[in-house]
Amino acid sequence: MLIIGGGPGGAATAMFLVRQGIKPMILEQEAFPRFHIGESLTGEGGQALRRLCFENEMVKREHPVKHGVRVFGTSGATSWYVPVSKRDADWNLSLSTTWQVRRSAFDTMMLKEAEARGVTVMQGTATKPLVADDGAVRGVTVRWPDGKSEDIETQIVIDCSGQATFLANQRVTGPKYLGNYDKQVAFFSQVTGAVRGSGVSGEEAKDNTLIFYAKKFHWGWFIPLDKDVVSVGMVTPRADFLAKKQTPEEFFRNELYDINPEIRRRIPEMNLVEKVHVIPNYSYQVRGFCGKGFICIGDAHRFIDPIFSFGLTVTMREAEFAAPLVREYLEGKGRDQANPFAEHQLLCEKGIDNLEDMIDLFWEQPFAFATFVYHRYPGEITDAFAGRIYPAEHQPSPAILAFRKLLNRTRDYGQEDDYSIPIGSRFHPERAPLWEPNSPVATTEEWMGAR
Amino acid sequence: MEIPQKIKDYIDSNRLPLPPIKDEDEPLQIDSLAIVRLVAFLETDCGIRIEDEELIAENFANLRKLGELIASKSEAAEAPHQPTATAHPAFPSATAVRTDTSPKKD
Repeated sequence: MLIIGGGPGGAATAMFLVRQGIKPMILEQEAFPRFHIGESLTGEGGQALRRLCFENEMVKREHPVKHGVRVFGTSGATSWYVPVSKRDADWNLSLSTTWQVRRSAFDTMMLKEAEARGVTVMQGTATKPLVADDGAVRGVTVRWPDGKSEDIETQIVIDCSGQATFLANQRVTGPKYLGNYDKQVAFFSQVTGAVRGSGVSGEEAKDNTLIFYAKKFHWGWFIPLDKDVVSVGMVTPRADFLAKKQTPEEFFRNELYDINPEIRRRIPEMNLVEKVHVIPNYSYQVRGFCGKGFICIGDAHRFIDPIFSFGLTVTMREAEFAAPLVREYLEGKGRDQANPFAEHQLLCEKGIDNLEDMIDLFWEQPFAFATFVYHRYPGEITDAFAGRIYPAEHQPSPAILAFRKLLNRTRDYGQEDDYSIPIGSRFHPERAPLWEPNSPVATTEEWMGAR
Repeated sequence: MEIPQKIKDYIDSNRLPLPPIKDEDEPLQIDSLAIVRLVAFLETDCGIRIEDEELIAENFANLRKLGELIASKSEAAEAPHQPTATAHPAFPSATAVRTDTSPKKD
């Protein structure tokens, strides 16, 4: 069987498969190490790594330890905090920690370890899926670095191609919808000399993630990558960048401090030690992302607003869920079904739906959100921030249901057509109501700026 | 509606060093997290349940608005068969967590 993409999703899928007694192949087009963004794990992402027996290695490599996420309001003077947490078998909540990761090093570690555990890693590019008459994926055409092409036949293809969304772009899956968050651009780099928290644990822990809220859809991040370097980024509307007619570096240097006063305090001098990267921060959702002979994992089927760092966690959790199902499929289970992985697909959708509802509420009603974090649903929101988002994890929780109610949103999973509907898509007639001038509060900015 | 002194005192102590509020149309001048704490105070210490839908800045803009919000609760309390929560039939479990909707008298 073949995994497309050797990032953490592909490597985790491969290692979870090894535990099922399967030695898969990974096809990766880039030579590692390579730069990548998405540098923070949540609580359950850390737990998935621990289940893959990476804890000692993570400690040895001195990855910064994340105790929680601190979100600063517009003025920079106030903040709220969500700690990293875990649940025991009896669902008792306790504090935990997870890690920040420099992706070039982390991804290489994961891929090398997969190889060490018996996975075959090949450098090459998947160019075309091979599809049988009944629609089943039966392999891919690969272009090797020497330019030659070859068909590789497999029983199942796992798409871990990330935002390249290989199978979706090749129209093997259902349609790919653009989501709500499609008008922003992220600018980011790495700095030295940044001012971290002064504590060893809790809200002031030195290596926590800091999020700087500016106004709706304008925000910045601060993620320590090692003892010297911090990843810093900002997300702004694309139109703002285009209007200024500056290079990305000029724009980043000129605009970063305007996101939030706390950024200037945290980064007194902009000693950039990495070039300024630019990526469109767009969201999308692929329908029908599992089927005969294929499963898409992580960003290969859905990408929502990256503000709370769920990417690595979701991809590793989906990898873990998929592994036993892949083994059963290889053993012959579900071959006669239209979608042998329909249940898995629904489970994954429900999980990310819960995250999407939380993030949408954060943007639409930040005051209500802060009240939920601090007062109404602290435990439930801690669960969601940790990435405990699936039905077996008591989801949707009362907090998620309250978010939906405030968003005037329903999630009906009764029939196949009821789920996987990209609620926020511009192209969907039933998109959720968004912020409008006649909302009870005129704008998010007005609220966060109110003093 | 006249705001109970206890709530006025709480707000005044949270906007120091500003002087106590004299005019009920004067902005509260407390930051957003202080308003979050005010909500917690109203619910925990004063027995006034603020519904999720009421968690909007306008309701906490000044003492007049806050008084109107609290008055709407008292009216609901006088007519005990009127639920204060707007129950949504699709979300029974969401409304089920609202067990403290009846204001208690200090």
